[in-house]
Amino acid sequence: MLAETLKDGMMSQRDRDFVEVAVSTTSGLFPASGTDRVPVNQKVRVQLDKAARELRLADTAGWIATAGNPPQGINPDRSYEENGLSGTVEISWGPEHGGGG
Amino acid sequence: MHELASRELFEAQTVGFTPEFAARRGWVLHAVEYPVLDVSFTSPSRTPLRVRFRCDDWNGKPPSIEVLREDGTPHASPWPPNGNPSGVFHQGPHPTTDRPFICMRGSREYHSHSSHAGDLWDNHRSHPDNTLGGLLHQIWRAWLKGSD
Repeated sequence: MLAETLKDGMMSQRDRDFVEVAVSTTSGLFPASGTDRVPVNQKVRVQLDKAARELRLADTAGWIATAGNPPQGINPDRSYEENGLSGTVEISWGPEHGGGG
Repeated sequence: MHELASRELFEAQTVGFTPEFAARRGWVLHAVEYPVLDVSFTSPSRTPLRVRFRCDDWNGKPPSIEVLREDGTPHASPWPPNGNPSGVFHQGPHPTTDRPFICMRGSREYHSHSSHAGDLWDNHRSHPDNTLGGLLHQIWRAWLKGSD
């Protein structure tokens, strides 16, 4: 019993060390289905760069990454933890609109 | 633009629009079949917005974009009721369609409007932001900033 409780505690701590990440872009999802498990202290940009390579995104300069509901802007050069993100993280990434008025 | 080339580009730019992709964004894919891209945006506590791209001659011409209710009927001017805070949703009426329209680079109604006659689509169509997914993303982001 005690062993199981300790094991559950360790699993929870291990889970808190990671996030499950999906990135949706103008060309589709990365990964194509499900999520990638990445360290919570990893910079968001690492996963965005992987998405850009996998989905062959030609130029992502100026693109905005958001997460949460309602969507909030996140800083790709900070980690998930530093952006206040945990658990399953769904990132939308793309160009910002340019209305003509 | 030759129709075959237009179709191939349309299909290449929408191949990633899978049911899982749509679900993660709160989108409903009504039609993704050349030359029509018909998508609803949904979000909790918001009235859904549906946009229908007609992509004939893509990307020689930008798509004509209809602004619709969830059931596919067009919004009438003036819409949206709270004005045009993002600059993207123009209450209209557009001189050609007589309806509200998407007032943004990449919309046929924008480039055909007399106010933007000098802003040629040819100057923007090769930019990576102006794929079909890029245009849809920009409209969706503008919609998310609304409140109705």
